[in-house]
Amino acid sequence: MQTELRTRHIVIKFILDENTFAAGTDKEGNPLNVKIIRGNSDSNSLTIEANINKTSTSFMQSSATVIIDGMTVDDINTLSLMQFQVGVNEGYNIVEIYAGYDLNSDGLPPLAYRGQIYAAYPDYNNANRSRPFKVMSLYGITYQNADDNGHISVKGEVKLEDLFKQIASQFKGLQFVGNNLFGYSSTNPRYEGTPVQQMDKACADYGYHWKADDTSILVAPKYQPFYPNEIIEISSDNNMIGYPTAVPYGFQVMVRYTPYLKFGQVVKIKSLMPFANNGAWYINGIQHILTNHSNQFMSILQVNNYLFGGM
Amino acid sequence: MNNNQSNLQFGNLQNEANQIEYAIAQYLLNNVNTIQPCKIIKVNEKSYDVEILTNYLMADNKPITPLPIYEISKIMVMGGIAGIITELEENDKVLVGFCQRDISIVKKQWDNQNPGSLRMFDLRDGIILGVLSNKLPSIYVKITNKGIELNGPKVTIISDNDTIVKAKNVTVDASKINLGNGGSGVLNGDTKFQVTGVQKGGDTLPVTIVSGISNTVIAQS
Repeated sequence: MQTELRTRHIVIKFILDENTFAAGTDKEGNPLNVKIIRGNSDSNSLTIEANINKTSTSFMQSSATVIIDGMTVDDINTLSLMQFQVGVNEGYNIVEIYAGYDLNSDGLPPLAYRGQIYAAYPDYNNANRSRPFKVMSLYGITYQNADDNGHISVKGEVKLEDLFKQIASQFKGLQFVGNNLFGYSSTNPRYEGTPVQQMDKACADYGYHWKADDTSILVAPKYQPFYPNEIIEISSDNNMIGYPTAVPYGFQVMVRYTPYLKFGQVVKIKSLMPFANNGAWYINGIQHILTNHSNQFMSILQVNNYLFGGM
Repeated sequence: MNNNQSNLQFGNLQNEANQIEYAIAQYLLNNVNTIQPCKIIKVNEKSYDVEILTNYLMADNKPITPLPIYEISKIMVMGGIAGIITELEENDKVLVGFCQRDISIVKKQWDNQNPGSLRMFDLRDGIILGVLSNKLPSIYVKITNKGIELNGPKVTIISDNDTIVKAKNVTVDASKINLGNGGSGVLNGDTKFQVTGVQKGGDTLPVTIVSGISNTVIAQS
């Protein structure tokens, strides 16, 4: 997909857990707990920077940092959260980062990140007087902190797919995506702890890995992609910037941001480097560096060869 | 400060020793099951469903009863084909040990097999090691320095061949003694007695059944 010379959109959506924003109401006049801040590469837009990290393995959580210049003081005060306040309340405010080139009927580009906010504060001393508001987010805090009373103990044979689906159902709001779980079963499965602990243990027991990513919960055999059937080619004609860099067990590839590159996606690389060309790669780590006014609107992919390793 | 929480917060991982302590507490101690007292909640055909007796304590000290562990085996008191048969019952309290690897396939035949999964020290791989009780059983085989005692409402000795009692004195203390084929208490012509040393200077004195059930007389021949 050609990405150059197109308008870049970054939309940040804040969803408050309990509070409401001072300004704005819905059609019935009720106060809103959702605030959408739109930025694009046109010069009259707010300046938004978003840095998203999605690392491999479930234990290392995805994270994001967003900096928005020019927000109203009211909105800043509503959203501000100090780290020492974390854990005081049950709920967390949510930040959603949408980025891309095409907008859907709601005026949103594709979702790039969704997570809980653990710290948010402005910098009123900033030299350009735009009071940049910094929002820091971790993915899945609520799942990590969930009560571990959803234990599972089932008598008899249970298909592995059904077992993973049952554990995944404890991750409220996430859609289960399983790859290659068929044909295996578990005898008298019994899993305890938080949903994260249960998923970690079940995957370790049967040689799988998993990742909770935005709105999906992904499960696949170890060293295999989560989305095996969707192959995207990356080349200098198709968004690759420079050349792949060798890293342990794979490559690091820089690309112009494209919303179609997902965590766990299979990619084919075309470059002057023969090693990179020959592999069957999947995205096992991804960093999005998104700005609407500077020239950075890119992703750094860590791709691993899924023929490497094994049970 | 609660001892369980000392130095285990993520923010305190400032040196190698703390990291090791954290790793041991978080991964080793939480994931390696050793032995646990349990209660039998269901007796299956060849296995038992049990429930762990020690509650889990949540962060706020709220107790939670652990979910059942299904279809675990028990250890047998036997060697070769010989053994003592006991039948565990619901509500029996037992000690369960947990194997290092997944024994779900191995225990079907107790033979060499691959582990059923990669899990280790898991509660599902439990084996009942013995019964826990503060009371003595009322039906028992008691073996002490003083001797062996067999106690039960009914004691049956089954032997396809000979049963020999070798003792200095044999006392049968009973209000009624039934002797006869098949344990029916019927003495007939096929019943043979040999009484040794009942007559001065004699060796063996055969005893013959001379009459039927109601008027049985043992006559000296």
